[in-house]
Amino acid sequence: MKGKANMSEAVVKVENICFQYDKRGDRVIHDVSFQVKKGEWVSVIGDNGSGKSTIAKLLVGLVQHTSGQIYINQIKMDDNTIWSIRQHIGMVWQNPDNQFIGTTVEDDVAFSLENLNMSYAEMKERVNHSLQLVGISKLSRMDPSLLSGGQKQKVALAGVLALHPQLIILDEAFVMLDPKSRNSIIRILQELKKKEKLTIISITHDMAEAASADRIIQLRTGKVNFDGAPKDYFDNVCDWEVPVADRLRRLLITKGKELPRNFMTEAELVKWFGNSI
Amino acid sequence: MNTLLLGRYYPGESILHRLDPRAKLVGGFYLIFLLLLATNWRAYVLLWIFTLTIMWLSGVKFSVYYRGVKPLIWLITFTVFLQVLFTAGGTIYVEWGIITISSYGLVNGVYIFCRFIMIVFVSTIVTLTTRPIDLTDAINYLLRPLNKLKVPVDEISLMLTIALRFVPTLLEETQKVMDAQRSRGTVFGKGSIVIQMKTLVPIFIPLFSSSLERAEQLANAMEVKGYQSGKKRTTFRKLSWKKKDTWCLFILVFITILLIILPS
Amino acid sequence: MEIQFEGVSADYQLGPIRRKSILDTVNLHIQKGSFTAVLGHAGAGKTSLIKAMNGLLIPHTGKVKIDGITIEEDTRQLICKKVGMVFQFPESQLFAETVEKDICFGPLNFGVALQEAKTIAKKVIQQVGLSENILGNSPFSLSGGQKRRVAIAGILAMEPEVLVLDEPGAGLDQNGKKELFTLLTDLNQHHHITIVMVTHDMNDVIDYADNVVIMENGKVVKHCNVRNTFSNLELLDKWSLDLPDVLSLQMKIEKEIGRKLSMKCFTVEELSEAIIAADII
Repeated sequence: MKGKANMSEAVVKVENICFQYDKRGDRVIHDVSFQVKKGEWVSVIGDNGSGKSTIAKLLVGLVQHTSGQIYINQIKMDDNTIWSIRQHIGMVWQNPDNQFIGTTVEDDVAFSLENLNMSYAEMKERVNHSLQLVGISKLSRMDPSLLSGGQKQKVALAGVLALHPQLIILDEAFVMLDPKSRNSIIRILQELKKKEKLTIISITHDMAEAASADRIIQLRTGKVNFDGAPKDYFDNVCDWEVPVADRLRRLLITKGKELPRNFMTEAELVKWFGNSI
Repeated sequence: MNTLLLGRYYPGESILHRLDPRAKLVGGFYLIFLLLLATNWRAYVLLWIFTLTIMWLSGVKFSVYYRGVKPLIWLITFTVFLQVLFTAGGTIYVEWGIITISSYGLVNGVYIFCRFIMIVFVSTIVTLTTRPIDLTDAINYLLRPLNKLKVPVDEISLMLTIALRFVPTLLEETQKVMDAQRSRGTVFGKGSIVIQMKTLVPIFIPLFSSSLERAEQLANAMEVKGYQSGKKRTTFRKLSWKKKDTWCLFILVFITILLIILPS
Repeated sequence: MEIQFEGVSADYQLGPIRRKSILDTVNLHIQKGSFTAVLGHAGAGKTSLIKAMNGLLIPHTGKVKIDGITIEEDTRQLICKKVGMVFQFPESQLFAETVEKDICFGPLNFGVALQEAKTIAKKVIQQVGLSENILGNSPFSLSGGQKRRVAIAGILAMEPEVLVLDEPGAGLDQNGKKELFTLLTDLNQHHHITIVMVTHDMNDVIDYADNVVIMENGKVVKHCNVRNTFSNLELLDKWSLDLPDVLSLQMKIEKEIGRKLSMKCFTVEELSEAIIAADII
């Protein structure tokens, strides 16, 4: 499958999809449409029950949409194309243990390559390279029971990168990690995104992570409630849901100080302070 | 560290540890086969020398082997006892109804005792010096021909591999659930059998439930990573057969020849 | 309920695996009614410390005393009731056919009569913010957040005087965490339950705890009130501890403007006042 992902083409195109678990059940996903361009980091947010976790399953075909179309790399998803589509998508799930299949770190990273019937030489090269990208080469022969949650998620990420995927989906991948591990992996992903022009869809409820994304898609009761830049999202959101830096900005404004009136990320606010003195 | 519990793998760098697991598996079975066929004292002496030599080569202390055979010692002694009492031949020492203690019976008893002990030692050598995952890979390789009979060897092998990978995780989870229920007042190991069985329910159910959830998530992960049952796939883990493994088989052939030419 | 550690040392044993000195000569006194956070790098001994508080881990040297009672083999059961322990992801301990039966499990084990246990169940289910209707449901039909609350209710049903928690907020979203910590604060302030909580999240420490215990390699290296914890930032780095978001932001701003503010700030309010006072903008 050679997807021509040039700049104006979307890596992911979702058109009017609906989904329900059975014929009599409620619609879990109701007429959802969105696109994701190459090199974008899109955070999908929403409360429990909003359908955001189902979106991840739909995008990899673990469940089938009942109407509408999904295109990954301009290929329409159906029974015939799903397996070749999956060769270009890498996914990291929430539970570090329940996606770790191999008996050692490098074994697990190689799993998806084994499924592609790849030669040993090429697998070895890709595995070593991916471990290096994520910074865990030293752990290559470790038994998973000796690894921390954060280390296991890094292994999962290495496994994804070894595929050279067109799209990476993170399904609440950092929820079970401690803040240090979470920040470490997000930083690795952000650097790789810049270097390798990765396309990332991250299902999350971490507002700080969403604030640094390129775009936010908010789901509410199975429908798209917002699709746009973080700036526009956070400007209309209440105080306690906003990252710390923006909370400070808002508070200083209410105390009569002159600060920009729209949402600022931490980096932007810090820089602004530097420029005002 | 955790693998020490399963199959009693004892980490080390001895020559035995470094042999290909296929050589060890085939060699181990063959040696047991030879043991079952030995019929005279010279054969047993030869086999004892050989067994003790490889035990020494494994670099594992004798006390570990002893610990491996200890639980079976009563079963072996009992079997030997029966042999001695119910086999007649040669000089008869005691006769009482159907029970006969004879020279033939005693000698045979000794042979059988040696045979059983050595079988335990040989199997222990294989499991002590081979990681469970390597054993699984060896079994997978050796059972490959069964593929022609439509037996899903690769699938079974993958199942075994994944099961092995989760043993330490399950152990930890069990400990955690036991601690949690202990904190709620459960006391384990006390009271009648019925009561003790009852205290296991709050352990089994949560473990069962989490295992089901785990199975579903693993299956999803495998599917998205492109795993399709029955489809051809390569393996990253490789077994490499070396010269010393061939030598191992040659030595076994040599022993066989010696056994054949030994006078009875 | 006072918790006292006197020269406590303990090893870890799981089957044949033994790790020595997971607790190393620990001397500690936790005040009755306090809300203490236990911090430290992975493997520092935090979980072992709290396990020693309810008798799951009995030290080979030294004594752990709860309200003057030393924890030993024969006092273990009694201590279990007084010191309730909530493990990480406690929903994994649910097993009974109904929520009510699961909550009653603890009290029944301690000899409470069935009728009284059911009354307690009704009380605690509401305490954790769930409705009585849920008592008849299977615990396996609930959502993750509900399961966690049922698990905590099961511990509260034993009416402990101390509540020990291992990363209670793990895996919860912002809303879930807020509700959980509101419950803990309520238990601490209105029901006078002493709370000891292992956590990695510095923001939770700032927002809810009044005391901090820092562990490193099995030893207690610091025990002080929350504010004093952050007085020496180099030591914090050595102990692999993060900074709370507000303090971290303050330091970034200070670095950018090239000067320090008048004090260390832990809330957005404090930071805004310090910035105004410093006349930067």
